[in-house]
Amino acid sequence: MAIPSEYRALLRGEARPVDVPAIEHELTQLWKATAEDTLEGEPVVRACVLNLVAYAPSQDVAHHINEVISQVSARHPSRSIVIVAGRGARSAQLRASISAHCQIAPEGGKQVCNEQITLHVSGPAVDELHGTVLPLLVPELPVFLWWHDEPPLTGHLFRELLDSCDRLVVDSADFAPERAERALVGLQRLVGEGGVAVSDLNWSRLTHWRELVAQFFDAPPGRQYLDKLDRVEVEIASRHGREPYLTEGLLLVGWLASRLGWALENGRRSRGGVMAFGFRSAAGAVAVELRPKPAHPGEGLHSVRVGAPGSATFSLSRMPDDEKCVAVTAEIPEGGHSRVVCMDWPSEAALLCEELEMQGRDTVFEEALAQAVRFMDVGR
Amino acid sequence: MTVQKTAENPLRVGMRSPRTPEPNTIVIFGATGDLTLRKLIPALYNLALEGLLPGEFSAVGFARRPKDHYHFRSELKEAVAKHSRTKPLQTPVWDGFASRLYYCPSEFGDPAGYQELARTLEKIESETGSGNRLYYLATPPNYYAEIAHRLGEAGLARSEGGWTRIIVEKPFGHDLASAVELNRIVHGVFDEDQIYRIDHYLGKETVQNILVFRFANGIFEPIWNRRYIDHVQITAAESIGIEGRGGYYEQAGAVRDIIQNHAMQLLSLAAMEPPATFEPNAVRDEKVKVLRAVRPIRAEEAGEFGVRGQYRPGVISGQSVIGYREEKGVAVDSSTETYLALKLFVDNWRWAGVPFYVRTGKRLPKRVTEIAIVFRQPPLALFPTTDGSRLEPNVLSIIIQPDEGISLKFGSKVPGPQADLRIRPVEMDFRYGTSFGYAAPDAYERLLLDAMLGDATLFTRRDEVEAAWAFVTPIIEGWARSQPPRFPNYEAGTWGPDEADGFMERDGRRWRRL
Repeated sequence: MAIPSEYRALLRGEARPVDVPAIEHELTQLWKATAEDTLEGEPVVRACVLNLVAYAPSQDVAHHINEVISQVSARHPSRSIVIVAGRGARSAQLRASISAHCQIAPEGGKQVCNEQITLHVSGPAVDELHGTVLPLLVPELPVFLWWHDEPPLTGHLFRELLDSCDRLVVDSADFAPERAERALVGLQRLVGEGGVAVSDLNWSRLTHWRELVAQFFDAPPGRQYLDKLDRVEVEIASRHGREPYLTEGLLLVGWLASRLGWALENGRRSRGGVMAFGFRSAAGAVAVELRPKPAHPGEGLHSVRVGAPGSATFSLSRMPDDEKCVAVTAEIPEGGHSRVVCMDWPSEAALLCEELEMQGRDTVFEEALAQAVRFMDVGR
Repeated sequence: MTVQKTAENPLRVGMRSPRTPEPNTIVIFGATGDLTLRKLIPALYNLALEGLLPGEFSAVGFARRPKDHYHFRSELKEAVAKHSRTKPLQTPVWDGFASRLYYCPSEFGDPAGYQELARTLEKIESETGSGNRLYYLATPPNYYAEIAHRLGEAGLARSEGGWTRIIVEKPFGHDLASAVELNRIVHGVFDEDQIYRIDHYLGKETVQNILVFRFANGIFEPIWNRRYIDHVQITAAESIGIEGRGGYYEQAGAVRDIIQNHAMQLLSLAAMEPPATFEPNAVRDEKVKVLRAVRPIRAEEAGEFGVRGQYRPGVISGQSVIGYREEKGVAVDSSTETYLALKLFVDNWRWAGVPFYVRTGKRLPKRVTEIAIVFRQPPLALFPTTDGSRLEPNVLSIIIQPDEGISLKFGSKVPGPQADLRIRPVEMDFRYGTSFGYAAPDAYERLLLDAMLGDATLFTRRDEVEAAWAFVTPIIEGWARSQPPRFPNYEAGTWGPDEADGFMERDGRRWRRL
């Protein structure tokens, strides 16, 4: 039996409006029809390893989320439920549509597809939407809540969804600058409640940087300098053309401070957005400076330089002639080394993929976040 | 799994990627050969690309052909551009990587070459401050003993400033006596914990997943024994021929090329007891117990427990292919087997009486490697079948390549009203590519990194190699003494000789149709 044309369109990514109570039935019909035929000559396989509930505060953000989910689904086939909220509207409305994401499996030979349910909701219906979302979750699979906005800690929908999810994913780089600090404090409070595991894509952006910093101290002779570090300089370029915001840098320094047991002693903010901190380590004082590079066309973290007494310096810096690559240099009396590592700016889909692999709480992030929140209080 | 000892790095806590090895220098013997160009250097480059190599990493090529560092680097650049799994070549990364590639031209038996190598290493290590060395024997096997001996003679088997390890490619020996002798020679120079015998099959994700599948899931282990399992089939089929390696294959045959190493590794992973810990020696202890429990096939029994075959011309995927005896470097009256099926038993508490059927062959219809666990029939035939045939048994198949995954076959009622209830076998499939959606790194990348980190879990220990040879050698000797079979006896593009089907039918079983 050939796949009916309406289902064929769904498999090609087109959305189809459905009645909310009929969502499950429609999806069942879709997969039943496709199981008996092929799409573009390849058999269709439905795959699902997790539930991904994504919250979009506007239609524009929803478009962006669709793009990201389409990319993520190749690696993490899931049931995606996208909530498009129109909070400003007076009347309560709820519309639903279904669509699918399909791609040829890496080894070829079949179309691997997964489903997306989009819920457009407005007005008072927003706060009651959990009653629609929860029955749509595929049982016994992990639930990830990707909140593409500052998380409203007291919001009814947010709290209800949080209760049913295993991991909350946010991106602090997307927080509005004027509300970012408050949102980070809120995030840290949420972490402190000890319920759901929390991921920040802005922290994931640091993964490769942290890896390269740690590598300096994996083996002797670099290891001996780790406990003696006395200075850290971090440069941050603008992101998406906006003024550089230092959250990434604060998380990086928070990570160093929490791992190495540094105690914050003082800090100040100066003109041009530079933040400077004084820490105390077991070996002595540590001076830290976070510096924005507003004119720089990069994306986020640009360079990290740490040093120890005796002219030992370890630096990572995006290369001027190829910003996708990072020069990794260690200059120590025992003999230094230098190399180049490719470190393209990760896409949001790549970052999300990384978080969807996480199980359990990321205590290293939580401790770094706690430190970063403390730094933000400094120099006000 | 990591056993490398160094001062703890608090920045490593909670890190999502593996630690980087200590700074080291790899010396590749046979640096102009196919393995180096196709696998080793692309693997090292990809590790560098992903930032998994230490900053002070260097590589030295050691081979007979005269050339300088620059010529060597240029050849390797071409090879990486062609064979790397990541494309295109990232020039800044390559330039940095290539600047630490060196070449040392020498005969493998020339002591002067090893003195030159020592000077090269000394120069590199004076710059990097690290004395860690990893030797990789990527030469023809007949040079292994010579190279190990010369390394020892030149004082290069130990390094004052760090560790020294040696990776030895398969085949490790050509029978039990030669493997024991090679072990003796290599052990005269290196300790066992310095020796990493590589079988790239063990670097494949799905092979590693056999252990995860068995020991991280509670539902399989209780039925993984003689009480529930009727028999096990291990298949390593290839559609390719010998790819111009006639000289090697004439000496090796299917028994040395696949059975002694890959097939015995798959057998030991499928049949082993749970290790006490996931530490290298704990895992290898359990694997070697299986190999030691494999019931020996005496030389005079070789014909009874095995079927040999050799392919003649045929057609594969619409392409005509030549027969084995027409291949370059193969004798026109060759009696080397290109197909082999064996029945063996693991005489221990878990597997007593359960036959393990192992088959491998060249020029079979398709490339597929799998372990199939065939379960016993239910004790009572409750449902009469319309044609009087027996129900299909449940089969759990672990597919190693090419479409890695796991399938479970079970019977299900055919829908609808029927005079007699009809049961049809259906398959429940898990596919790596479908569930994880991304390609795993190359096996050599994983294994090279493990060797640098000092993690020998996925490498073969001395006793494992010798136990595998102890099983295989009497079979080879039995064939040598018996009448040569009437080769060729199967057509390329078929599932082997007819005798192989009869071999199974005698036991009331059949090969899986793959």
